[in-house]
Amino acid sequence: MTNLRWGRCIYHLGQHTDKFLREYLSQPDRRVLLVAGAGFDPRSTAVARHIAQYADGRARGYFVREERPRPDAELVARGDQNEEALRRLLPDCSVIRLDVFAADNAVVGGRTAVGLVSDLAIDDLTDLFVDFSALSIGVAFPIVRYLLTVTERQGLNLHLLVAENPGTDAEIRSTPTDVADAVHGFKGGWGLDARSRAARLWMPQLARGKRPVLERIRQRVQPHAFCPILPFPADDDPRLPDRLIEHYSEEFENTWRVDSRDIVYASQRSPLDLYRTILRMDDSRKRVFADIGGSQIILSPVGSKALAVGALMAALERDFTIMYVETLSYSVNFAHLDAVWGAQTAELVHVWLSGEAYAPHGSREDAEWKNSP
Amino acid sequence: MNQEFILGKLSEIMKWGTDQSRREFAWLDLMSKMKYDGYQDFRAGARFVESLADWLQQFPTLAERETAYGFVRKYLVYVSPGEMNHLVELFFPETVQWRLMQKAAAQSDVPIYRLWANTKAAALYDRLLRQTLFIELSDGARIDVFRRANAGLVSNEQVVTAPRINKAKWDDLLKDLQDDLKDPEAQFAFVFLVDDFIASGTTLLRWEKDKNRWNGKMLRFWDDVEEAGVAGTHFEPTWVLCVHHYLATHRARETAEQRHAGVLKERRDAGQDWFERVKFSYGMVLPESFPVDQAHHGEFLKLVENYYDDVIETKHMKLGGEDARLGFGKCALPLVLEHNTPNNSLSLLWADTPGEKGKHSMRPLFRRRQRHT
Repeated sequence: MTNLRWGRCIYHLGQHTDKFLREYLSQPDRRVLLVAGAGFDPRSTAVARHIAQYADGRARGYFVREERPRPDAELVARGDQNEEALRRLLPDCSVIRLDVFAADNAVVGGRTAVGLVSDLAIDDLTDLFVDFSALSIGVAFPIVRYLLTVTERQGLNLHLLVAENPGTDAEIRSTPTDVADAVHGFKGGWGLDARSRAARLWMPQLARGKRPVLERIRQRVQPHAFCPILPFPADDDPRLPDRLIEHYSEEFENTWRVDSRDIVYASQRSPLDLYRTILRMDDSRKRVFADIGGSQIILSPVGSKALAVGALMAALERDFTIMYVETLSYSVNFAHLDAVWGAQTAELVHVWLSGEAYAPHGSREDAEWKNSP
Repeated sequence: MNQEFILGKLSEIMKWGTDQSRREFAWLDLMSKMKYDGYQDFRAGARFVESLADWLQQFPTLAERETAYGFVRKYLVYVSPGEMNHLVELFFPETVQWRLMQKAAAQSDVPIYRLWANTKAAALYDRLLRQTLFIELSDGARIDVFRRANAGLVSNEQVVTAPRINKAKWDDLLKDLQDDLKDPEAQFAFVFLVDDFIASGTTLLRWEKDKNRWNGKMLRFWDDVEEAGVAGTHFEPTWVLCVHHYLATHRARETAEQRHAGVLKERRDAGQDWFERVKFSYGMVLPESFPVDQAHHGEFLKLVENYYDDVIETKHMKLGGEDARLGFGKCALPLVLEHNTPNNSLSLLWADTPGEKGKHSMRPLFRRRQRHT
């Protein structure tokens, strides 16, 4: 495989994340900004608790409340509670209300989020943490793309964190819009004439309850090949891949016509695993299609948050298209959600995207991945 | 064989009506193609559905067949070639790299997160990587897959395919290391013993009452190192033995470490040496609730109890206990691996017996190739 930007990556899973945050954030010179969602999701406050505990008095918060039309009253109440909790944890904070849709129902959340984040004063900081736990990908991905550019330019550290809890993901039902489109900043050449002859490979990340969303994306993408991504290993549930294959039986058999050798397995808890796998596949396809129209990989990370981070990293490095369907509204059975949240421990996943963990920007090592084909 | 024909026969065996036949056929056809037909011991003309039809017919009543079929449908875990290969691919980046990073960082006196940015520490990592040996404990280690996945990172001279190593081989390995590093003093810093699956821990380490001694693959490796007299010459004083299994039961994770601690204490008490630094790791650990138990699978366990032939209780099987109904070591696993079914799985899944002397003739769903007879 060609040199990967994050082939040698600093990342932590589970208890290692907690240990890292404790040791790292306890350093008195760390000045931290946490960008996170302040929504109904019970994971909203998990990361902030760690940051507040270990970087006490040296951390600020920038909390995004994603607003969608006509939300359920219980969702709003839970969002209010989490917002209040976040304000208590990091009193030096701003809470931003972000309309995901414009008045004409156009999806504007990602673009607006970038505009808001670009106004942030970050000169006094050493570290920016983006917490994916309660942010939608339509908002989180553009924020990270923008912050990666800015932090690289200014020599700041950029980290991603996720409180991974697949059971919680499964309990949150979303009603999608009718339109599949690229995430803001992640068009990856989608729609360009230069890509019109490219062999389109679609890699949908499978999760329960996402069939309508994936069908809309498929119709938009019209892929030439399908490589569905199944979570494996998934420690708590070794039968999860089987159940997802059964859940998507119609697609596997009739619409996508999946060959068993096309299934991509990705560790449910490791973003780096999916990242490496996608880039390995890209390496192979680039050569095959180099002289016959090129290859275009389209990602749709609709499942677990940790895997979404892996897809994001691959897309950042190779400018892949991230195709998704924005969520119009959420519905949650909070009794179930609370039970799941209470029964499972959220595992913190940390990925260090840029900064002092790596060779200085512009160094020989840095040039190697940039010059790789 | 025509798939519809054998499915029709299965429908007769199960007495399915039209609607149920349609549902079950869809599932069987899909899962056969995506997973089960990849089982290495299936033969042309008798793959999963044929084996299932054969297996179900050993149960005389429809109620028993329904119980058996329902168990396969809901609880059986089959690890496919793609899944197993993925566990192999995860081994280096998720386990080996992390172990080496820890040591390189500690020896360089830098935090792990500064490793890649510190030229000397990163160089030490590269040196430690070359000072690492990978030794397969059985064919299941899939060392060929490991080699391919890590081409360019791990050289062929670091991979040993025979679990027993004599003095000449040790000398060759050391010479290759010293030549590669251009350092006549270089020694090995890490040895990874690699195997596919650990269920009871018996094969790795066990106390043999009749011989009044410990035995198992770790003992044999220790004996080989001692016999070759290379401990002091080929290994750094602080070298680490790492034992990695791609897949493990919850029970094995507990017992392997306990037994290692037991051997260490006993040999120390007797004035004998043993590995000073041992680390165990696993690609995936099956959950504690994974084994079949009375509370959840009472009806199926009646079949396990009633349809049994004790001819499978060979000398080797008896190392794991007298009664082999629940498999070796009474592990009671509902598990099938693509290249063979573990003997720790329920014997009703894999046993193939003639049924002599009035005993039940057990028919295998996934025939097991015996490694120990």
